[in-house]
Amino acid sequence: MVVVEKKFDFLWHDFSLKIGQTSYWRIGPLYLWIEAQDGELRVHTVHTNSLNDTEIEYVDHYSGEIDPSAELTRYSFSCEIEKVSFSPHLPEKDIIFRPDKPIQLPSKRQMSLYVNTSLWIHVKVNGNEILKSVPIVTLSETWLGPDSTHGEICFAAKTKGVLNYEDLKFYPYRYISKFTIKNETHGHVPIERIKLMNGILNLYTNEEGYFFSDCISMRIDSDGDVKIHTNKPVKEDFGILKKISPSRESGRNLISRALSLMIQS
Amino acid sequence: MNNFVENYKLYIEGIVFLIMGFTAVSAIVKIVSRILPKKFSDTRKLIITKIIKYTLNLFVIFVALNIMGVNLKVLLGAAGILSVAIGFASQTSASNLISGLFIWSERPFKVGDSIIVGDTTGDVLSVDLLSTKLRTFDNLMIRIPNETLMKSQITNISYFDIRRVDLKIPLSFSEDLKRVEKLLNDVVDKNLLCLDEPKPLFIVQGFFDFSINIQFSFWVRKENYLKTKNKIQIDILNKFREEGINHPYPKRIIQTEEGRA
Repeated sequence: MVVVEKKFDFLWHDFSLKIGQTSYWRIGPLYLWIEAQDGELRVHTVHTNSLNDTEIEYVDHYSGEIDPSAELTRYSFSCEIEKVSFSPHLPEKDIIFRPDKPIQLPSKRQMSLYVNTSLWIHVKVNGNEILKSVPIVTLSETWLGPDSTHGEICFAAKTKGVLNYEDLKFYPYRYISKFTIKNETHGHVPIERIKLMNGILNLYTNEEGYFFSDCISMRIDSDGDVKIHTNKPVKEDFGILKKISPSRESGRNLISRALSLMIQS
Repeated sequence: MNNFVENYKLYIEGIVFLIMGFTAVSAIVKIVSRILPKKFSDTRKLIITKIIKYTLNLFVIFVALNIMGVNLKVLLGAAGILSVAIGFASQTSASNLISGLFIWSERPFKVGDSIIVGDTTGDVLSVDLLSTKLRTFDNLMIRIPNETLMKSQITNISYFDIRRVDLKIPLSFSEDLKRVEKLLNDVVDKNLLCLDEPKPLFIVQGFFDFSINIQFSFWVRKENYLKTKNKIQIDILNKFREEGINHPYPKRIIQTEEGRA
């Protein structure tokens, strides 16, 4: 059976897999093969540069050649493998994104930026056993900090943050985050790079199958302290949402962090 | 005969106490190393446990000697005289010991860091009271006295999370440097191990006899340094071959006078 789908909902159900069977999935730019062999499971992944590819292709009994450049991970399995499933989750590191062009946020003003970033998927077997976490799009890493001695490694987003929600390009394998910044200082705050803290965000899906993270509100106080708050995206903006992946860290409370580690100008 | 038996019993008791004492000290040290705060570095943990171990073992030895009937007052008196002699004889050890404590408090490196001391590069295996042990990348163990370390310039190559890879590339005078810069940036952009920020650097170092030398630098995580440096150099070579950018070779133009060889 070969299935080509535009809707990503197709991906979030169980796929049967028997010993001796190889199945193939093309999830946008990610190509994935799973081979069930006696006592072992082999997962092959390849990432392409076709970022505009938004289709899913599924071949239950794949008989072609597996891309020799694919990354192979082998898992020893003594029990019977019955089914494979996938579940979306947020990237494992924070993401740095940029607005289209650097923006100055004047004193006592507020602005919102929207960004859509690629999801990761858990490859699961027999229900809930997570085998592997795979990015749908591989991102390069970047450094965020005041200098090369202090900071942290994050992922660098390939997409830019936009000021209007309508300007976003929708992709089924990306999630949308709203980032609001309020400047309470007495001067302009130049905004060139912003950190999206994936660890404290929940992931939701709406009725159309698109993904959204919690909204992040950041307030820069007059003394330069940064307070961050996360809240569930509102129904009026994004439709009726269902939480599908909880945050890894607790972050609902106000957090105070150095500005240079959140925004870089 | 009775006196001999009595002394014999005391010696046995002393030895038993010694064995039990050392075992107890070993257990205490293990417990202490487990309950030390996780934020302590391995080096700090190592030194704290060693100090506890040596102090308690000394205490056990004194008590055991006391049980055996050895007059500690005499022993301590002799130790006073002996310590002066030992002091003269062990100046180097004392210097190493004090240097060890300074290194421990200053913490220019910790166990597991990669450091360069003089001509030696290696991973720190242990920071002991008298010396620091390194494992070189060709798997040799090198013991460096702490006094030597105190006097030497130490380069810790794994202190910060990210490192810059510097490549020196000679180019022919005929090359378009803007084009070369773009090609080099493309190579780095395609490699996911290269960091997006800080941005790569392209520096013209100067004009030399046969080439223009440039420095191309990019940033990587410290653990990816060697792997990425190798990969990027191979990729640059391939890119230059694809794009027809040649390595400049020394050229000499020899002119001969007409009619003469």
